[in-house]
Parts: sequence; structure tokens; C-alpha cells
Amino acid sequence: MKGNIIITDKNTIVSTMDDVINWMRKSSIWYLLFGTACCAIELMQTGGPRTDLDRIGSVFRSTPRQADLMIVAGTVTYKMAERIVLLYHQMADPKYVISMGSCANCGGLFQNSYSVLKGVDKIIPVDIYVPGCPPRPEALMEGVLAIREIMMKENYLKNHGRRSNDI
Amino acid sequence: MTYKGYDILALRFGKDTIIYCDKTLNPYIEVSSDQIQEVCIYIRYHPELKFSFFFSLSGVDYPEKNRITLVYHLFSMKLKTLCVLKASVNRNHPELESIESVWKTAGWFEREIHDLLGVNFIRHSNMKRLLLPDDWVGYPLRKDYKEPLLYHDMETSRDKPS
Ligand code: SF4
Repeated sequence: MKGNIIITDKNTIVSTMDDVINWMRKSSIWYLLFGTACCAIELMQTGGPRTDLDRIGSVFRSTPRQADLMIVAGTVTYKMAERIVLLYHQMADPKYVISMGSCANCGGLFQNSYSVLKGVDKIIPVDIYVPGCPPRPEALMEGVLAIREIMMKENYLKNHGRRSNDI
Repeated sequence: MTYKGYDILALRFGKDTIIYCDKTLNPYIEVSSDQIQEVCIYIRYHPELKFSFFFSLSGVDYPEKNRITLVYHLFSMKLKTLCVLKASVNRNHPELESIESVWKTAGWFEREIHDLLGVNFIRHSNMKRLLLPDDWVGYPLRKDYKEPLLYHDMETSRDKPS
């Protein structure tokens, strides 16, 4: 964290509240346990021992009320899209969205399908797009790290716990 | 299906309604759509045929002929052979007898075909859409299906990046 004063002999760090809150938030990004198609397999891999999302404090939650991050992993059909909006609105502020895989980004190989939503950004705001079909676990990890960077720029205190819109 | 098996069928139903076609890669038997249930019951329970295993049921749309063809794939453990039945219905009023009472699993296939091609199966226990939402308009696997611009206020197209 930039601008912190470290007093070594007193074991003390002087920092701003925002920095501390941001640091705590980014070290415990809980994501919604939720996959819509084959990308979810790679999402599970990301939680596995090799990439190991847990080591940056990210664990899955099975309820949207406890989740900070929604990873839309896979094809979104119109039928599912309505449920995704519902889940998104159930998440508490501040909330972040990663769109994982070409299907969630733009419809992917189902671009001409009658039942698939052409990109999840048509229904919810997306922060990070992870390309690939499916993206490798490393790529998703990169996406989560990017979310951490976004989090460090927030001013939750000033914005009453909400996200600032200019990021 | 072996020729012998066809003979048994033709003997019972007559060579005019049960037509054997072997000009294609896989031979098939064409059945008239109002007889499909009788043929299925016969072919399943006849002691020399015993087509007890139902593989799949699919539908094909032929707008130029104004027909929808249903393709039944059956397998006989006794003869160790596959049998393909085809029945075609009018595209404007696609209706034929359900064979759910013969092979229970066929009910699911029939619901799928009802969903995607709009064929109505008479005396099916639950003739509703299977995969698409209940308020869906149209039958997407028909060749003249046009996607609406909006579905529940969601855009159904995306601009290609330039
Ligand atoms: S992007 Fe590829 S891997 Fe991911 S859901 Fe779509 S088809 Fe499956």
C-alpha cells in the first residue's frame, strides 16, 4: 500500500481507513458457487490445488448474500439469464462480475443460436472479461487478480460502502 | 432391420402402408402416421422381433414438401439389429399418436420434439415444452423460424466488432 508510514520499532503501520478496508476486502473475495456450462469445470480447476484460488482468500459461497464476486462461467441461455439477474440483485454491495469464456463474453460459438444470450453484459454490468474457450485456470486467476486491483482503488467509506462509478 | 423382420411386419400390416426403403445408406421402414402406435406395439411384443430398446426419436422439417418426418430408432436384443421407422405428418397440423405407452422413455423425446418442432403427440401424459421457457413463441428447429429482436427485454443479437 502506497503512502503508508511504517514504524518498525513500535510494530505499527499508519494508513488510511480506505486502504485497510480495501486490503481486507481484496484478501477475502468470496465468489458465488455458480456455473452455467463447461467453463464451470475450469472454474473448479481454478479452485483446485494447482492454481488454488484459496491462497488469495477466495472461497466459494453457495448463497449470493455472502458473495462479493459473481463469476459467470459459461453459456447463458435466456431462461438462465433471468435467474442470473435475480442472483445479481441478491448480492450485497459492493459487488463485482467476471465474465468467463467467450460464451459469457459475447455468445461465443452459440452466436447464431436461438436460445443463448449474446453476452452477459446485456443484462448485468461486467468488470472483467476473461477470453478463451474455456479460459485456462491461470487466465481466470489473472481475472481475479485484476478484480483485486480494482478493489484497491475504491473509496468505500466515502461512497457509503458502494462502488465508485468512475473506476 | 433384417428383411425377415420386415416380412413379418408386412404380413400383418400390408406392403402398401409399410414401405421398406434400402436405397439410403441405412435402410428404413416408412410407416403411415396413423398406424405408428400399432406398428410400435406389434414390433415390440412380437416374439420373433422384440424391439424392446428405444434408442431415439428425432424430427426433421421439410418445408418444401410441407411435411415433418419423425424418425424412430429401435434396437432388438433378440435379433441384435437396429430398426429405423419413419412417419411423416403434415406441417400445418402436425399430429400423431404418442408411443409413450409402448416405451416410457419415448415420452421425453416426444416432449422435446413438441418443444422444437411443434408436433402434437396425442394421448401423451404431459404434452408441454421441455427445455424452452413456457412462454416461448414459435418452434426454433423449423426452418422458417425467425428469431424475435427482443426476448423479455433482452436483445437477441450482438454487433460484430468492426
Ligand atoms: S466458452 Fe467454451 S468452454 Fe466456456 S461455456 Fe462456452 S463453449 Fe463451454
